[in-house]
Amino acid sequence: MLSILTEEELEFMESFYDPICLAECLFGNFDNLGTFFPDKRSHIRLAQLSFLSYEYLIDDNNPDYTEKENFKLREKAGTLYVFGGRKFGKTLFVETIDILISMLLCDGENAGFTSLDAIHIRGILDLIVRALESHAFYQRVMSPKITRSPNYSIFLNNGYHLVSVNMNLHSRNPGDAFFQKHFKRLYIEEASFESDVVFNKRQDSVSEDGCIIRSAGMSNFTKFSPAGRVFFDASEKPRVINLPQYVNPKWSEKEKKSALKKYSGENSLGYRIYVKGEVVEEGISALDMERVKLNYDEDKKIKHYEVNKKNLNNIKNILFVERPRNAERLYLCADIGETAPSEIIILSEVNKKFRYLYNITLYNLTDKEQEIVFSYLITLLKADIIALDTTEGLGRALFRSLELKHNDKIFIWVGFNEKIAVEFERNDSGKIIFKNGEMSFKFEYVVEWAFLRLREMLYNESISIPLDFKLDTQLNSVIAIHGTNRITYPCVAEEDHLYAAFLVFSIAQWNIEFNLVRTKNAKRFSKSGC
Amino acid sequence: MYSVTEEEVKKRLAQITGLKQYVKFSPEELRKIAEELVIKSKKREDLNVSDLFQSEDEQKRAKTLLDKYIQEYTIETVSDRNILKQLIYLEVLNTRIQDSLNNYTGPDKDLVKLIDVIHKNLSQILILKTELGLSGSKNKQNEANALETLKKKFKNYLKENQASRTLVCPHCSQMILLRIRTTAYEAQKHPFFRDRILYNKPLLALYKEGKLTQKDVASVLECSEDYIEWVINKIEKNRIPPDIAEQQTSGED
Repeated sequence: MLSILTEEELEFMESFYDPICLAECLFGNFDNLGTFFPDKRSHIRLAQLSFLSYEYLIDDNNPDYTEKENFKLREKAGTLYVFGGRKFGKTLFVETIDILISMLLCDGENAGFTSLDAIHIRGILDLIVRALESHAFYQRVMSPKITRSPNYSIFLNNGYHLVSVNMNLHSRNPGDAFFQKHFKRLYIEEASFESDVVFNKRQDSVSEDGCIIRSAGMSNFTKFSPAGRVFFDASEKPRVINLPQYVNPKWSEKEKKSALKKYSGENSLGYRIYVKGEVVEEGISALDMERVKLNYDEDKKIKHYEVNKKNLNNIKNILFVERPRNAERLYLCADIGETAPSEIIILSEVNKKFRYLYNITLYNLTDKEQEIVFSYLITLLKADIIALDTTEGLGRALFRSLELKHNDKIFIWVGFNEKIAVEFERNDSGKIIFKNGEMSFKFEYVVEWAFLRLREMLYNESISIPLDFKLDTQLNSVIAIHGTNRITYPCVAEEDHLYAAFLVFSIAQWNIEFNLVRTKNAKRFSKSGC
Repeated sequence: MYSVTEEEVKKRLAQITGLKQYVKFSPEELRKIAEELVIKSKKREDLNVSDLFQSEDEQKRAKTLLDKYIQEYTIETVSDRNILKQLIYLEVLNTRIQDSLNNYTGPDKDLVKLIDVIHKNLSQILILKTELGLSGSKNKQNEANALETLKKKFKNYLKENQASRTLVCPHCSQMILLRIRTTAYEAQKHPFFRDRILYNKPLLALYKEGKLTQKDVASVLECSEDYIEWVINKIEKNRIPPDIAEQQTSGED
């Protein structure tokens, strides 16, 4: 039998359907969603109020509207795209809290949660599962049934069903998991990474009435990516929020100093994107990833090693690297970091085709310590060409000491702030111009030329690249920015050192191809004097 | 579930008009009461618990119990109705057995039998109540505890947050503030948001006039001090285009 509603119960229902009241009362601590204190409420900050979904307050049974029109009202009150800097509650309120609230208020809802890979999905859905398993209210009232494999599936006794969909951005068929899914609400974590292929596939995975999208991510996307198109779409403006990290009241001078140090200044791309939450409007994706992916050898994974001060003395037992027998040349190229890690890449060349063999990352090593690793690798692999990023002091010092030690090898100096010869200067009849008895060259900035060379090699499918998610992410985040006189190609991913190592490689290859370097012969003396 | 005809209401209205207990009610209120009384009597007729007993006292007790159940619960199905009838019968019967037990003066052997009957009757009552959802299992008690805790927290929340409610317009997706008035809520554009971005024009005007410090404004807006300059730059220096909602909503709403 059903009991008759009292005034008090009506008041309860009013509070129950108010997302602010429900969230503040259900969770005593937003950092620990599994606790349900009888007398402790949490607090949602003013700026975070706009991150919640208010669709629950909409009467979606209005007889004056069709079922679809009723759902459209919910869609407009619930759909939200939040892009911005770090740490101001994007994921917490757009996704985590809203998932837990919708579980109570949307009976029979078919919901999905997606992100670029399994790690990002697990990061959020593990929080949800923990809350469902330990929060007294959910455990006693909702009786959740949870499976974690092959994907997350959460079913509650009111018919609410949440499943995870892995975008699998780095796989052969990204977005395929969206097939046969028809969601009424979809949560997108790290939405800035969504590719066009995934976007097109998820377009069909919505219910016939529509879909409430709850999307959160950083602003490291380009104008023509799926996230960029939503961000710059004027009709979506009321549902798009873009905020900097300092909307968080806990942002202080100390945090600012450390961010300035981390991103090397307030005008750096990193600071603008990850702190100020700015979208680099002028940036467009510089690489056609469909063409780049043709270089990927998906049956193999890159061999990646890490060296730090703890395991430095043991590198002989850590670095299992060898020179391929058929290698005509072996390139050892590196982006040298002062405070950031140094990335070493090793590639072999056979018939003008390159194979990316190893990636070695050096963490917190001094120049002397880095020298030990480089020397070991050069000797072990019998590297023919060693190219180092010499833009900063550490790289230059390392270059000089290694050159002295291994003077039979070809060393290539790659200063990204310098210029490089790219062509001979020719007269009208096409003959090379000589100035002061020397050939005259045309020059370009190293950094831009390196990118153009790398792009050419990738588009020509000259490099065989085993699966390397780090590299894929960084290549995907290279954008072209049109300045007044030149186009620059920065990488807007949080880390760009592996990309920089490939730029070093492309310059090394250019030096060889354009014959800018000559092999040094070590001086050998014989008793006969010949 | 129970339909009421105009005739029935009029008849009942005629019966209660002029009665002392209804003198203070207005004609509309009296009509409503008449309707309720018609429904109540229909429910009583439907269940007809007085037929179960011969003594007037027990009939009265059954009716009181029935009224209590009808008032607090809604009977959903015919089977529920029959079970409730059985339940009321057993409950009244229980009182009868208890009375006879209280007045019992016979041998102890029969007394034990009588007590056994009471136990059996009580457990049957409990089964029927569980079937009707009137008494909760342990799980249900847990549910009730969790709900009770939430209810208490809601009450405290309502005490501290009486004046307003925040929501989003389902047509233009703009933030709305509902302010409580004596009759109903009054809707207004949320004063702390421009589009969906935290912003309060008068507050920032006071800051620019030097009447408030950056720290004061930041503490009101619950943000960091750096945000104040950022939002002024972003909104007031027209770094973002004019409010689309302002252009669109008037017609839509």
